[in-house]
Amino acid sequence: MMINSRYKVNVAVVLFIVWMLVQAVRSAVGGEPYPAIKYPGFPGNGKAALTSRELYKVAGKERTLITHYESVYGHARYRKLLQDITVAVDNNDENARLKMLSGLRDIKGLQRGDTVEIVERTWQATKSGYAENAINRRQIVL
Amino acid sequence: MNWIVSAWNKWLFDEYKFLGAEAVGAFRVFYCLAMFLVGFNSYSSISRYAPELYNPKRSLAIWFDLPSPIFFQLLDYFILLCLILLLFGFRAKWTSLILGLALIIGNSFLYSFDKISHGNLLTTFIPLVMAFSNWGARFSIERSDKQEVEYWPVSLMSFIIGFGMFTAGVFKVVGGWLNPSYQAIKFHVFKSFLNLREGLFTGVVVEMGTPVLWEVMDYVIVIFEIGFLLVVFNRKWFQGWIVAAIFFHIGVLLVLDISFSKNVVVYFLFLNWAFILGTMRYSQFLSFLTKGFNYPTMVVFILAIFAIKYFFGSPYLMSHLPFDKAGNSSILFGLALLVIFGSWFQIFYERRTPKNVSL
Repeated sequence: MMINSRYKVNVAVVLFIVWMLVQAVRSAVGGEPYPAIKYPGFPGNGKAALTSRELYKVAGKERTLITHYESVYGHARYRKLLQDITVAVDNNDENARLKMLSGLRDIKGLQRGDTVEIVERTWQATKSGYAENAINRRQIVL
Repeated sequence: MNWIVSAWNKWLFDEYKFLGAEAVGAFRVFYCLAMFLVGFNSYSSISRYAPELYNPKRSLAIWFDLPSPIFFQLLDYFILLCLILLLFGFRAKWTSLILGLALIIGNSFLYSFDKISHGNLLTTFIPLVMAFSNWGARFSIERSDKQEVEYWPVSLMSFIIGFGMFTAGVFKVVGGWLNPSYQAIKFHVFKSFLNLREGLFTGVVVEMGTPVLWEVMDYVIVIFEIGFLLVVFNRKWFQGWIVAAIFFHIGVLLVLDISFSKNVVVYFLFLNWAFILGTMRYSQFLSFLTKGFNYPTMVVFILAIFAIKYFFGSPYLMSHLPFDKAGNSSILFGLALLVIFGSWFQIFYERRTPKNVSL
């Protein structure tokens, strides 16, 4: 049915705008549905770690997979997935390893038995700019 | 109090009447064709994601387990069908509403993997809102010059765009973008740079940036985004802001490698259709296009698009073009700039544009 009277249109539009306002306030005040919506901590004092990047070497070819995963799962959960699989490998927990492997299955070339080198670089904001703080390298067998 | 009601009604029902019925119908055609260029999300790709990461929070998806891959395949085909029917204006109102609903269902599941693609939000609103404009009255199978077009959906779309930008600006203020002791845009540019997500000019901006320049950029972006809601109630100001938004998105693409080309599709609703339609009439393309809106052509179109989807995976042109993201997006940005500068050219030199048409 076509909404054709101005009164009905006004009521519908006002209700819709109120609904949008409620959603915006709800997101702002009542927590957040998605962590990346909140702006990440700024390096306000100039000393806090700024950001990091991880490069993954698969079969000798260095690839950046973090960008791919940012667009698929979101940054925070991807990092957790990598932490989990690292812990599973360290603890020799076969069930946990298999479960985490399914999370990495859509990356071409990554499969059980592959050696993956994780290179984590931490960057710091300094007064003169941004400097590489530390490089941590480790290899895990998936 | 009366003047508020009167001003509200004037804005809601009359502000965008200048567009005319033809422009609203032409925008429907443009929207569908542009969607075939940039594409909707492919929901069948959801089945490639790790099910452990399925984590619905607040959407339709909280009531369901993750559906089977066949469901998402069918959803992709269904959305394609709706898009083609809408292109030809077949039962435009109901097709629009069903298309919008299908997109919400798809997005509910897609966004339950913790990544929300903001670039798809406005294009989802378009069919849901414009369904009530009777935008199938022109350039369609069921075209009729007697059918009237409603313009309040256009006003509502302007509010949705303005409100979306406004909330983005408010969160920036809350996040400290206006604090002169640090520069927020510098943080984002460097974050992008260090994550190897480089736009064409990222390196240049990193080298040239000074604290004053970074801070000015912080303020300009916040003022631009918050101001979007303030200019909603005046179409000339809003059109000006839309032009600024197109340049803003081009800048974001070049510096941060973030493409919002789908937003540009929505912005076309507010650009100068008198110029576009005038140019098309001049080239006889409009009469050629109008004759194409018939049932046989629609059936052929459906079969062709479904065949492309079946054999090549994606029917959307951009996914097959051999360019990177910037290259692909530049098609739409280029088209938008062409319309903007073309309109200015028309106004400046010909001075034949009707009084109530700007930009």
